[in-house]
Amino acid sequence: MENLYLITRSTFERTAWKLAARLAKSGDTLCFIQDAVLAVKGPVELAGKLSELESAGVTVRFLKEDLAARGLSAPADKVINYDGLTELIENAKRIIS
Amino acid sequence: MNESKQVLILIRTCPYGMASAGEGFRAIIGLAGMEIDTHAVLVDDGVLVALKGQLPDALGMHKLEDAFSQLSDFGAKLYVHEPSLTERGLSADDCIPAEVLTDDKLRELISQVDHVITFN
Amino acid sequence: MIIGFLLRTGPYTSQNVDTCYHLAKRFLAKGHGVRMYLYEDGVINLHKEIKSPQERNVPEMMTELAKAGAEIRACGTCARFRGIRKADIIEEAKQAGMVVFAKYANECDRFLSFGF
Repeated sequence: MENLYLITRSTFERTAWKLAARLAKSGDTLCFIQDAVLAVKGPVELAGKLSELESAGVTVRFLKEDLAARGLSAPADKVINYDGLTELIENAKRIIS
Repeated sequence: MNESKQVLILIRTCPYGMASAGEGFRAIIGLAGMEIDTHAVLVDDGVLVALKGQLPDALGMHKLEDAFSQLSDFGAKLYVHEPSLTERGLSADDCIPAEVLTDDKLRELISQVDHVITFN
Repeated sequence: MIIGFLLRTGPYTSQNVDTCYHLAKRFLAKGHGVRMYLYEDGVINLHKEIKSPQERNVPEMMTELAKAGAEIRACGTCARFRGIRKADIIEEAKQAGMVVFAKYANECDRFLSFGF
């Protein structure tokens, strides 16, 4: 993996995810943690952008512990736990938050 | 120490409301002072850091426009993200001297550095 | 591999310190080195007088990481600006200037930043 974009803040309240979405390219990963797991609920603009990015070869992940803490869920194949996040970090050339 | 790494510092917030831009400045000169190739990139609301005509005296705060104007004296390079300027109705003419980056140029710069450290 | 963390937020205000703890603990268990530079309010995470009845204790979590091999340093200037003296922080950590932050940037293979 080239770049791991780590997004931590609510995707409704904050726009930090937009920079990641515009810069991410094939081989990169977008990982939503902390309040950013709200990304599973939108906003609509983000949902559209994520499917576009996935078609372009970008991987999208959500942190299991942060989803569970907030009573949220995501498709199983997109959920990673802390051990999985540790591996993403090991395998990324650089991490961008 | 190993050979020096290249570091990109990403400043993402407006000056004065949060300390992030000012503290980011301290980090930039700290890195550059240790011979690390340091690229300071203003994105999102961070582009406001480069806006000319700041008057923070009434707030009792240091003028970040001046601080960031001096980055080259410390050996660091300043960049400003063009789409972030455009979104805010600004252009490079409104800013202190900085290299203007499109999304492609920013992606390219990121691919050349070892670490991206964010001040959001 | 050495993993670096820049942590800019304090305890019981943001989840950042918890995220750093959970990740750092796993990196150490895998045999990686961990370097943590606490900046701005991040220095408060090391205050040894923090009492947290019935709750996770952040300085104890930091102590646990340091005992497991993490090198933890707090920005001295940030500490002074927050009234935190050298004697106030946990013994397993130290105050250090930007020279150490630059050293961490140089020696780390990965670098994570946690801010606002």
